[in-house]
Amino acid sequence: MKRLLTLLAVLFSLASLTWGDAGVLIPRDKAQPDPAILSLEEMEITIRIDNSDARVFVKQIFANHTSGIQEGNYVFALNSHAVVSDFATWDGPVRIPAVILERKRAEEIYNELKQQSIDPGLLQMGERTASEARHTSTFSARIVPIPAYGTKRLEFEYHESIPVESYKSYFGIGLKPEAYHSQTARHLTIHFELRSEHPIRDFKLGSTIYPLKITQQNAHVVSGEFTGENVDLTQDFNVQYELDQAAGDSLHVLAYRNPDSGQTDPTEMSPERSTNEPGFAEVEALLANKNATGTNGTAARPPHNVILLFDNSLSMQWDKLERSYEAMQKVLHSLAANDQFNLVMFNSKVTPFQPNLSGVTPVSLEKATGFVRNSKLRGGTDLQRALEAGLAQCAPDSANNYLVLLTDGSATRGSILSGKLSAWYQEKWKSLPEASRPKLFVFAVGDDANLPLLRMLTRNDGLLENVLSTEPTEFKLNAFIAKMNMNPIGQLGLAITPQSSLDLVYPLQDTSFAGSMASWIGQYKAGQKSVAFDVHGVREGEPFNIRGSADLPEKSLDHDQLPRLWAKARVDALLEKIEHDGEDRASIEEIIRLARKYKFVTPYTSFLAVPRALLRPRVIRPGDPVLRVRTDPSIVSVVALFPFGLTKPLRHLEKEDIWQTRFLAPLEMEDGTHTVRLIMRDHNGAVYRESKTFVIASKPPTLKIILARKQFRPGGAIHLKIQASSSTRTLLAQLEGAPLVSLRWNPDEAASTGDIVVPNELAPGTYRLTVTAEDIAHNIGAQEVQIEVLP
Amino acid sequence: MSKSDNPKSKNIFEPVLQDRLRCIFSSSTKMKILPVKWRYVVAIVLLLGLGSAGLVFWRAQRALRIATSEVQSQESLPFSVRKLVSLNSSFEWINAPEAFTGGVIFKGDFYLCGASGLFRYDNHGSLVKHYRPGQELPSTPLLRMTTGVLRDARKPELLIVTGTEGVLAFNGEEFRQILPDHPDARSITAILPLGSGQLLIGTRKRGVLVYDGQKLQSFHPTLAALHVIELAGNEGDLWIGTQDQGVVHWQAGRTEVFGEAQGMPDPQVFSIALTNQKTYVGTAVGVAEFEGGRFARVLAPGFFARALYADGAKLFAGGNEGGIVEVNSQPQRMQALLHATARGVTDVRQIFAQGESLYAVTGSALYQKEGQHGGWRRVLAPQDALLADRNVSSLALDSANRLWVGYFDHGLDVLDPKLHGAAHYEDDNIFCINRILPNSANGMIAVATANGLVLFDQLGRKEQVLGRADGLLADHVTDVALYGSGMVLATPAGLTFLDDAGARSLYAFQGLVNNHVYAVATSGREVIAGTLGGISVLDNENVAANYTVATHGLSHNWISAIVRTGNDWIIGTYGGGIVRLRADGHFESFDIATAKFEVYPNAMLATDQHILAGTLGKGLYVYDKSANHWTVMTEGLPSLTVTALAAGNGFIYVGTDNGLVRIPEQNLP
Repeated sequence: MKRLLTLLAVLFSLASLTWGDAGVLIPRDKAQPDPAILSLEEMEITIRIDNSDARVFVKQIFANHTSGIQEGNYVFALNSHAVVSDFATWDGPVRIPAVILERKRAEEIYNELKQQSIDPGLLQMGERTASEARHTSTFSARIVPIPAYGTKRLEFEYHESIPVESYKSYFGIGLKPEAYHSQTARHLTIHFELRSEHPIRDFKLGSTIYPLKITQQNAHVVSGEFTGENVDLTQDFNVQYELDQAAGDSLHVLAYRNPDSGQTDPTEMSPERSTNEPGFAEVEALLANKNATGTNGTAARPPHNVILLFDNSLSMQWDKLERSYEAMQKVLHSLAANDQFNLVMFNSKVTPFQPNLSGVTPVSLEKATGFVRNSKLRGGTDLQRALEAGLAQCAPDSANNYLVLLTDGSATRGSILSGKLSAWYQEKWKSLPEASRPKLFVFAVGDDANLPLLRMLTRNDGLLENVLSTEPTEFKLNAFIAKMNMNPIGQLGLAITPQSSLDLVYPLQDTSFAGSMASWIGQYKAGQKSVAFDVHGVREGEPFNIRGSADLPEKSLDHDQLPRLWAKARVDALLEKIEHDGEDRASIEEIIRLARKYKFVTPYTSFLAVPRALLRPRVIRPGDPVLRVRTDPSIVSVVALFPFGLTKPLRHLEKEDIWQTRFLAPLEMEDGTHTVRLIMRDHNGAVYRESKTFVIASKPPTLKIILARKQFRPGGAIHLKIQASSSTRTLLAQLEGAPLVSLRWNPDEAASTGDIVVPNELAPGTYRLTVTAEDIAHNIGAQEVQIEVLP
Repeated sequence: MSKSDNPKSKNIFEPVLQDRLRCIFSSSTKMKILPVKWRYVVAIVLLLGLGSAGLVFWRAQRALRIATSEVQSQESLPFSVRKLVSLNSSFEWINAPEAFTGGVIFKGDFYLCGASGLFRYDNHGSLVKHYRPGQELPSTPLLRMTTGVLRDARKPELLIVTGTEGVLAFNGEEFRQILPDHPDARSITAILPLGSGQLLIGTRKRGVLVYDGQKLQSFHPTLAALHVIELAGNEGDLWIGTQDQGVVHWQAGRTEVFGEAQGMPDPQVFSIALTNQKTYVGTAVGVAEFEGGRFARVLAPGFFARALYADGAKLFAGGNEGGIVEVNSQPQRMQALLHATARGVTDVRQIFAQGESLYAVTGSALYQKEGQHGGWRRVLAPQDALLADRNVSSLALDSANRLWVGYFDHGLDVLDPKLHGAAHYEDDNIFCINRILPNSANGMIAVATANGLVLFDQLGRKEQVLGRADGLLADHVTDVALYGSGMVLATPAGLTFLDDAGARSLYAFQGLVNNHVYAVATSGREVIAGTLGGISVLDNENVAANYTVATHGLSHNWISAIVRTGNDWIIGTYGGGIVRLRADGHFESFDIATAKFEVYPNAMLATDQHILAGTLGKGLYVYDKSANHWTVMTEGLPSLTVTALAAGNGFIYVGTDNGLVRIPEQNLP
C-alpha cells in the first residue's frame, strides 16, 4: 500500500491550455509533446457503448528516446459528461493503479510525499488565483520514472453518459491535440462496440482518418475495429447515430447483479466479503416526439418572452465571459420576429438593458450586443437580485416566459447558500400565476460552476446545461437552444409494481424532452419476476404512459456499468441533501464509501496518487515579470536560478503563503517557454531542486483572413479561411448583425475555417467582418475585412 | 577563482594577531622553525613537487602552443582599449547601499568593488577614494576583481569585470578599459590572468576568450560555446565553471566535461577553488571535490557554495544564507565534517586570503577571520545608506516635497524634503513597486504594486490595500492615473476604474486592444492605455479608438510609458523608441528618439521645459520642448538603464537599476 502510494498518484487539476488533448505525455520542462524525447508508440482505445453509458479504456505506451530517465506530464481532457473511473501506470511488470481516498487522508499522504520530493506549483501572475487554478476539467498525472531508452505504459478509463436529443446521439473522443497541434501514434488500434436495446439507425462515423472495419451491424449492435501505423492524430474520433423514431414511447430495463462481492478492495478500511450484494436496474424510456416536424423539433411555436440574465461579475473574467457571450448571441439570434426579449446584466449590481420586454429587431439585437460589450466587470455576484429582476420582467399573461441564465453560479451577494437561494427562488416562482411561471434555462459555464445550486434552481420547470473549459460550446449550445423551442416533459415519473421491487431510485436526467431518453436507476435486494414499470408524464399538455415489464435477475453480469451509475446518482442525491439540510455524518460516510468502491471523485474524496503538484506552462507578464511559487510549508528558503545567469532569493508572502520575486527579462529572452530552477531548503536543512517552466508571450497572434469572394447575398454563407500564428488558441469571427462564430482547425484546408451565414434581414451595403485571435496569454490579434451584401 | 596563493601546508604559518598589527590586513608571512627531520621531508616533497610542476609546465606550454595555433585560424574579435577620463557631471548621487561583489589587496591598499563602484581603503580601513560609475567609471556595476600583469601593461594592475563595459584595468592611478565591440563578447562573467601576460575572459555567449594585448579571440574551439560562470587554474590546467553544463576541465588541449552524470551535485557552477591536487567546485547544492582531475565526491551536500576558498586540507564555503562553513576535507574521512564558522554572515560573494589572513566579502561588508579557530569579524562596513536599495522602479514627490522612492522588489522609502532621512516601508504588499501616484487634491498617495494598490494618507501612513477581492481585475497593478474623482488602474488583465461608485473593469472583451496594460494616462474623461498589443483610447470609460502597428506611424505595439504634453500624448514603446500621438489621432516620429530602443515601463516624465524618457541600457532621453530636439544623456548616470523619473524643487530625480541621482533641470540639455 505504501509503495503504491509513494510511487503513484493521480489528481485532477486545471489545464486551461489543454483544449481537447486526449492522452498526451509532455516531457518535463517542455510546453508540448516532443516525440524526439517521448513518442507515442502504441495507443489502444476500447470503446464500449452500452445504451447510454460509454466506457472508454485507453492504453498507451510511450517510448523514451534519450539516455536519461525522463519525467512527463500526462494530460487527458474530459468533457462534462465524463467521469474518470481508473488510471494506472506500469512499473516494469507491475501494474500500479490509482486509488480513491478520503480527502483528509489523501491530503495527509500528499503532504507526506511532498516532504520527500517537493514540487511547488508556480502560479502565474495577475489573471489567476491559486484557488482558481485548482478547479479542473482535465485529468493530469505526473509520470516518473520513464527509463532511459525504455517505455512507459499507461492505462486510463472513464465513463461518459451519452444523451439522446431529438432521437440523436453523439459520442466523441478528442484525439486531436488542439493545444499541441500534433501527435502521432506509431500503432493505433480502436475497438468499438455499440449496443442499444432501442433500435438504432443511421450510424455514421464522423472522422475520416479512423475508418472502422465494421464487423457487425444491425438494429441493436454496431461493432468494428481500426488499426493503423504512424497515424497522425489530426482528427477527433466521433460517431453519430439515431434511435428509431418508431421505437418512441417504449421502455427497456437493463439489470446487473453479482451477489458475490468477490475479493475486497485492499484499500478498504474494513474489508468484508459479501455474498448478498444488491442488484441494479436501469429503466430507459424513449420519449416519442409527437410533434416532430423534422429532426430538430423546430415546429411553429407561440411567441416567447425571453429574459437573458447575463453574469458579468469578476469571476466570469476570460473564457467564461466569452462563452456566455457566445451563448447570449446565439440565443438572441435564435429568437423569432414575434418574440419579445430583455437583457439583464448582473454582478454586485443589476442593470437591465431596457425597462421592459420589447420586440426582436436587428437593431435591438445589435444594441443589446453593444450593451453587453460596453458593460464593465464588477466584483460580487448578486444572483438573487438578478433572478428577482428576471421574474419581475415576466409577462403576467403569457405562458411562454423564459429566463435564460448565463452564469457560473458563484453567488457572493444577497442570499448565497444554495439551499436557501433555491428555496427562495422556488417560493417566488410559485407565487406567480401558474400560467406565467417562467421556464428557467441555465447555461452554466466554467469548470468551477456551482452546479448543485443551478440544478436545484432548474427543478422549477427548467433546464441546466453546463460546458467545461475543455469542451466546444457549439454542440451543447445548439441543443440548449433547440430545447427552448420545446416544452419539457411535465410531471415525469416512474411507477414500479410491486413498489418494493426497486428502492433508492433516481432519475438520471434533470429534465427530459420529447425525442430524448428518460432514465432511472435503482437498487434491488433480490431477483424478481415480471416487475411492471410505468413511465408517465405530460407532453405538450397531453398525459401519457409508457408501460413495460421485466425480470430483475438473481444474477446477471451484463451491463456492469450499472452499479457505478447508481452509486454516482446516489451520491449526487446525498450531496443535494447536504446542500439543503447541511452536512450529517451518515451522508458523508456513505459518500466516501461509495466513491471509494466505485472510484469517482466527490467533494469528500480525492482521486489521488501523484505525489507532487503539476506545473504547466504558466504565462507571465513580459518585461519585468513576477515569479510566484507555492511550496510545502516546511520550506524556509527558495532561491531562483535563471537560465541567463541571474540568482535571486524569493520572498515569502505570509498572507498568501507564496514565495515571490521579480526579474527583468533580458531582451534576448525570446517568446516561448523558459526554465527557472528553484533551490529550496526546508527547516531541517534538506535541500530540494526543482525545474519549472514559464511562458513569455509578448507578441499578439497574427492572422490573415482569406475570402474567396467579398460579395454575398442575405442567407448565403461566408466561408472563412484563416491563417493564424501557432500561438493562437481561439479564433472568433463576427459579422455585424450575425452571431459570433468560432473557427476551428481544418486539416483539409490547412487553415482554421468556419462559416458565417449572412442574416436574411441584413440590408444591402458594406459590412465589417472581424476575426479575433487570442493566445494563451490573452494577447489579442485582429483583422477586419469589408464585405458587401448584395440585394 | 579563489586559488590559494600558497600551496604549502597551512600549519607552517602562524596566525597574525590583530591586536599586534592593528590593521585590517597584512601581507606578513612569518614562518615557524621546523624540527630537522621535518625539514628533510619537506625538502623531498618540494623536490618532487618541483619536478612534477616542471613536467606539467612543459606539457602545458606545449598544449598552449597547440591551442594557440588552433585559434589563430579564427577571426580576432574587434575590441578597443582606451583610457578612462573622469567626468564632471551635474548629477548628484543620493546615497544607496554599496552592494559589494569582490575585494582584493593591491599595492598595499584594500579595494572593494560592487554596483556602486570601486572603493579604495588604506590598511586601517579608512576610505581613500570612491570611484563611481558614471563619473570615474563607466555607467555599469562592477562584478569581479583580481590582480595580474597583462602583456600590454607589463605592470601589476587591478583587473575588474564590469556588467556591460568590458574589463577595466587600474594601475593605481588611472583606468584602462578593454572593451570588446560585440555585445556578446562584453557579457563577461569571469577573468583569469595568466602567467604569460594573457587574460582569459569568460563570457555568457562566447565561451572563453583570450586577450593578449594585441588580439582578442576564442581561447579554444571546444570552449567557445560555453556559458562561463567561473575560471580557475592556469594555461595548461584550466577549470571552467559553467551555467548549465557543470565544470569543464581543459588540460593539455584535452577537454573533459563533468556534469551531473559524472557526479556533480548540480550543473550550475558558482565557484571554484584549487589546491595542489584538488579542485573544489561550488554549486547551489554542494561542493564537488576533484582529485587529480577526477571526480571524487560531494562535500557539504545541500550547501549553497557561492564562494569557495581552499588551502591545504581546509575548505571554506560561503553562501547566500548559510553563512561561511569550514569543511574538513581530509580524504580518509568518509563524511566531510562541516561546521559553520559564521552563520550570521550572509550573502557571501568572495573568500580570499592575504598572507595569513582570510577575508570574506559580502554584499554589505568585509569580514576577517580571527585566527585559525576564531570567528569572523566585520572589519569594513560602509556608512549607512539613505536608500534601502539600488534598484529604483518608481519615483514621486508628494505635496510636502517628500521624495517617494519605490524599488523593483524591496518596498519603498519616503525621504524627507532635505534628503537627510528616510522611512522604509516593506511588507507583503509593498514589495514590487510599479508606480507612485500622489494626489494633490486629497494628499493621498496611491502605490501600484505587484500585490495590490496600496493607499497611504497624507502623513505617509498605510491606509488600505486593494486587490482582486475588492473588485480589481488583478492584484498586479502596473500603473495608476487620476481619473475624475477616482483613479484608473492598469493591470495585466485590463483596466479598472475606481471611485465612489465602486470598481468596474474592462478588457479585450469590451474592446481594449490587448489585456496586458502596462501604462495608463488621463486627460479629463479621456484615458489612454498602453498595452502589449497597442494603444486604446477611451472616452468616458468606453473604448473610442485602438491603435496598433497597423496604424501609420506607430512603430511598435508594446507600449511602456505615456505622458501628456499640450494636446498630444508622448508614447514610449518597448522596442520602438518614442512617438507622438497627436490629438487628431495621427502619429509622428521623432529624430533620434524614434528608434530601436526600449523605454523602461512608466519611466517618462513631462515638465514645462522637457520630456524625459528612461530606457533599458541606453541612458536618459531628454527632449527640449523649445528647441524641438532630443538629446541622449549617458554620462554621469550610475547605470544606462533608467527606470524612474520625477521632478520637483528644481531638480529632476533619475532612478536607475543601480541607484538614484538628481540633476538641476536647468542643467539638462
